[in-house]
Amino acid sequence: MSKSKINKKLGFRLGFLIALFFLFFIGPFFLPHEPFETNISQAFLPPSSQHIFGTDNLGRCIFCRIIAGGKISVFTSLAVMTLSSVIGSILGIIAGYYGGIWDKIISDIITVFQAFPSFVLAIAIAGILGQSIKNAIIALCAVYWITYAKLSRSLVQQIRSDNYIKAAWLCGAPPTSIFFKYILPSIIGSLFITVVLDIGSVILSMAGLSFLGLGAVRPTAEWGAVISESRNFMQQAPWIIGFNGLALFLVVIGFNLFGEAMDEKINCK
Amino acid sequence: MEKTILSVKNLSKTFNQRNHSVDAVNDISFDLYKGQCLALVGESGCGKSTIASIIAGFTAPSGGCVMYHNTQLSFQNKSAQQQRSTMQMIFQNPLSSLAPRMSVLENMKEAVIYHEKWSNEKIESEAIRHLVRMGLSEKYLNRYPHQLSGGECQRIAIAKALMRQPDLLICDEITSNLDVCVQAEIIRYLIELKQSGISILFITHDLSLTGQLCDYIAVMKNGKIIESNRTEEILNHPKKEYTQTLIKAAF
Amino acid sequence: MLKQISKKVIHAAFLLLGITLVSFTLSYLSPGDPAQIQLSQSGMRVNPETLARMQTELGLDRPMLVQYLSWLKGILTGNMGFSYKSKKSVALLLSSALPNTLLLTIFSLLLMIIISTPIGVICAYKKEGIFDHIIRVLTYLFSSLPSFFISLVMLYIFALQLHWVPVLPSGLSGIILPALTMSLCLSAWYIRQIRSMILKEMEKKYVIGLTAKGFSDHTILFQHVLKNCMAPLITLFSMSFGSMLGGSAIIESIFVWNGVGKLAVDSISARDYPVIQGYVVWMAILFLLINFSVEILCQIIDPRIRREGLAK
Repeated sequence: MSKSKINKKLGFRLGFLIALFFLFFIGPFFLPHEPFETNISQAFLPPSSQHIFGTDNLGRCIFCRIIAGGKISVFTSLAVMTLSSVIGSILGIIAGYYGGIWDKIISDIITVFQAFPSFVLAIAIAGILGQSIKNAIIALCAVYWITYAKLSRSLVQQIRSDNYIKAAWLCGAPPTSIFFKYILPSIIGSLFITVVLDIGSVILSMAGLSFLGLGAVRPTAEWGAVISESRNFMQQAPWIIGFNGLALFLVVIGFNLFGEAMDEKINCK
Repeated sequence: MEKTILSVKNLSKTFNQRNHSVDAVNDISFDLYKGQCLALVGESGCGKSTIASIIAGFTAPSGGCVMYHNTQLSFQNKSAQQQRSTMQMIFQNPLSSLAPRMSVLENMKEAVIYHEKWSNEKIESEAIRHLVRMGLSEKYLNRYPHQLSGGECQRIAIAKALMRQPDLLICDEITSNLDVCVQAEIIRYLIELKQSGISILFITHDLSLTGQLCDYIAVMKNGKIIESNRTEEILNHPKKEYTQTLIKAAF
Repeated sequence: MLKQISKKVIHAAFLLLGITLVSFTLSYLSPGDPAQIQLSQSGMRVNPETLARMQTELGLDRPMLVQYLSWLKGILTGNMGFSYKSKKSVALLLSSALPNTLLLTIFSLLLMIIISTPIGVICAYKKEGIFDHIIRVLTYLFSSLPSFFISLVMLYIFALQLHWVPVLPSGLSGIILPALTMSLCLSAWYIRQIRSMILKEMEKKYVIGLTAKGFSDHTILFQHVLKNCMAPLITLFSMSFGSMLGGSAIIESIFVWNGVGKLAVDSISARDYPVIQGYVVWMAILFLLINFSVEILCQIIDPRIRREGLAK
């Protein structure tokens, strides 16, 4: 595939993500209706020109709630990704670079955490710590850090025996210089791609936790939580679940497609 | 009396793998004098690179010690780096010897900045001077390693190693991956360096390179030095059968 | 062979120790005070005296290590504490719910294999064809939707609209919808994996050799390529157990299937920590056992892996 085609693809998909960002972070200031205001007389209205996505059981505009809730779904997932990738990578780099006892300890911790089915661990942690977004973030970080620790450990092990790192040590470079000038630039590309490709899965997991009542607290309009609340009215107002699901779908696909385009671009260099 | 730059005494290194251990280096001793070149010769796997690794401080020995400038070298701690500040090493694979994401100039800068406070102009002019001596030019300063050939990378690695005039240069099979013309040039250049006072530990499996460059040869087999003497003696009057085999293979 | 197995068993034992430590620490870090919860659950008044008495009764005044060791001892003898809510033994609750989850998981696994294997093979065989493209789009779709959404859609279509299955399961027939949903969710990923695995295998040199010898594509595919893919395929399928055990929480909740997943979700809402703790440990042990058996199975099936293992 030609370079310009790849760039165009990447550009489009990045544009889509940027549009989503604007929608969820700036959009709430321009909503036609108040997302948290209840109006029982307007409950269960199907999609119309007044309310493009209809209303829910308390008469709230679904479209507005989706836009308002988007901030949480996206922001919390980014928080999880940032924390888990940074913590995981640092541990993995320490294990990979210093080897010896550090590697043994960190690898053993990784193995124990891996023994748990990931979602089981997440709901257990979130369940025990209590319902809140902060705890959901902690729970998901506890699951996702493993990927980054393993990845960065193996990447560092690959380059540790590269001659230029040995030469740098012999030239007198302190550990911080070796880390920032040599190791980090070599591994950050792969780490970044993995992060982008994983965001979709984090968004879904976060929605899953909220669905089970473990993440966002009412009356937040987090999409998973809304879907869970609307279970009882599935017969009367299936569009509530439908549109919230659609929102999740679009955001996840947006990130996945962007990640794949980024992957292609980097591999073609 | 020639001054001893490097003295290796009873060095040994054992690698422990799963069910058995390997004695990579077994009771090795030799001395290297100032302005001289000692060759460590032997086939792959005989332990020469391990010795280089130990002297350069990348691995700790299982036994014995290394004296450099009359100081006993330590391993895997802060002072290990300090003690080796006048030592440099050049590796076998030229393509992995330079940091891939740094330009040639940035790579060469790395050899200087942790010890000296030179100005950018001085670093650049020194870099150009060494590149020119290696047969390259200042056009190379802004290039990146992946744009260069193996021979060019190796010459840049040597130029980089010389930036601060090291006392000891360890060459670990530096010409194995290069074509014959480049090989000859580099050997010629190393001879010049020796004459300016730099001591060289030359590791190779090819005896034919040692004739002009090296003053002493130590022949290694399975982790032990089986014969060591002045170059003329080894090449003309080899005592061990293994040495004779090596000579026959090379010449 | 025996030596390898015993090595693995020791390794597994250490892992189990780590698992129990993590589960215990989790509970220990929980913000709720078990003594307080017990008291309020049984309707007793909460004041400093009753609190202190309950704490001693539950052994909460002992140092953490002692508490952990006594809990560990309890596990080894089958006693995992008692549910705050129902006062029943945790081990009892889990053991009565586990068979249902296992049933659901195994049935889903079978369905998934039946669905994804032929489709994956056909996609690889007729690469870039119409079928391949359609399936690629569908799998992409399904893997970008959360499992709870797909479950609700299935419930809506099949139970509420078409009335093919009852909304609340009675007996075994209730397994159809959740199993179908679970297998659909995972098939999306599997079809892509199987396709790429077969394609990779087909690029290997021996396939060219066989084609040159005159074997038909058909024979090559079924008698050679698929056989070589057997072991990695089995490993792949075993990996899905992890996702299934985890995903069972959501699916069992939605379809009201009384497995450990639903038990866990209900316990979480009720802050029934002993049950949650037991759930985590049991699931991890189950997961470990499955991975262990799969490794052994692979060694038996694929002689290459057996040889590799012996050489170590």
